[in-house]
Amino acid sequence: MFGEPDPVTANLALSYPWLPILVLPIASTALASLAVGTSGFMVILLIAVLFPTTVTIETAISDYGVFQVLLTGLGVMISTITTVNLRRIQDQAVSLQAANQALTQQNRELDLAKREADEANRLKSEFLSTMSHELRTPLNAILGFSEIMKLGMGVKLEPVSYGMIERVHSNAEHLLELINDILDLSKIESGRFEIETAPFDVRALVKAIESQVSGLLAEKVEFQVDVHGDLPRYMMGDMKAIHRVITNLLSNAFKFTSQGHVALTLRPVKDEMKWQIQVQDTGIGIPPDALTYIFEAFRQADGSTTRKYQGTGLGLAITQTLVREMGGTINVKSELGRGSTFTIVLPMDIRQAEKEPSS
Amino acid sequence: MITAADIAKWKVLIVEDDADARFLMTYLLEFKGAVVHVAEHGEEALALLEEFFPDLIILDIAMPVMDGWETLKRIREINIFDQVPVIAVTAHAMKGDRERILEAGFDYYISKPFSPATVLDELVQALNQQTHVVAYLGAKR
Repeated sequence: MFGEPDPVTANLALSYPWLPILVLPIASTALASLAVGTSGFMVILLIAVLFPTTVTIETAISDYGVFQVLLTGLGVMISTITTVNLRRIQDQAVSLQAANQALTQQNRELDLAKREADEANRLKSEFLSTMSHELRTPLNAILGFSEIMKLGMGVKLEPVSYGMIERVHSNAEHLLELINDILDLSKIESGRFEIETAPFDVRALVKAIESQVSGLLAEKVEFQVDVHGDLPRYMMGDMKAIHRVITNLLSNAFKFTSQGHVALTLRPVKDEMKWQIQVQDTGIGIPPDALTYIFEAFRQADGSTTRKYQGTGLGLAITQTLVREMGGTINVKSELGRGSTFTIVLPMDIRQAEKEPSS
Repeated sequence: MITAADIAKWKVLIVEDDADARFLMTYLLEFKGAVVHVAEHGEEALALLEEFFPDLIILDIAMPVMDGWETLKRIREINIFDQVPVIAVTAHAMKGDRERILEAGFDYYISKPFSPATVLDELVQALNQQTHVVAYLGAKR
């Protein structure tokens, strides 16, 4: 767009804006002394002519000649340097002005782009809200009538019809789950899901989760819960988001574990103001190459498991996004056929929590 | 104290523009023994009010001609209906909808899709929390 400014001179002009002020007097002094020198030489030459006994013309010429030559050389040198520098500084000023204009233009473009992005985001929210409404309306009829038939409320079904209507119903439920998860994910990603910070009782939260998920447990699977004694009773954080990430990880663990155990461990991270949530299972495990993409939306480790194990394939994407929003990290270790361990590390904030415990 | 069995004694006005949702709610309430009248929008509901004199109104929010917000306002303006329990039904499940609906003066909120197996039990349980609703429905008996 514009000439590449020489970085050295650019720096010079930027760091020493007073340079011309300094150089100009030096140059003019040099020129002045040249003039003084010349006139001085003329005066002495005149004295030598008028009083030949005190100063000879030869000495006058030789002494002042040398001085004159030196002085002239110096003058030329200084004025050359000054001219060159002045031109460089002038060039710099021109290209700086151009750069400045380009930056202003860029800022204007960025501002416009930001406004366009904000508008797109608003439209997306509106679209999601409308879509949510439009999808729920037909689902209400599908879920409602299939449930009425399943329950046999005033309807008698042959066993075959019952089996079919049960499938209609469970698929409709799955579809509703998908819609809810997609809406949640887009809400979190578009920044409309605000992380709230309030004191919460971590043990009460774990207890609530325990009773909520116990129904998901397979018969041969033991559920172990351990909240470390050193973990403060009250911490600051978004209880709903933490509840969501723990239940997401647990429902995955339960889903992929048919025997052994699922362990939920909460403990402070040693020597750091952080705490961790760990969900470890003895389930089917995750192949090493899949570990890189299981946090992406709609990706289960093995594409074929999506059907077998149900689920929306959005749980881990939502979990990871929520954890990031809370300023934490999530990682996974897994061995095929042996099980998986998901570890979430969250910043620990207890400043307000100790003072105002909530129920 | 209201019980699920009391539904059999109720006269319910269902105001809903979606034919399937209207049929579903009607079927469910009639199955429990209630007498049901239906209206497709707010204006039609207002015209039916004095003739049918419902014990309970189930009101969709998004409707053509007159939406649920306006209909509720009009119902409350009529002296004899300023206490009748009005239940909102809506497929808007976005954050803040629930608060907005209860603030507007609805007595309860059912979000679509609802489960026919549990929706009425939940409704009865919620109505029992509100003494004025219990008193109103009790006095009608």
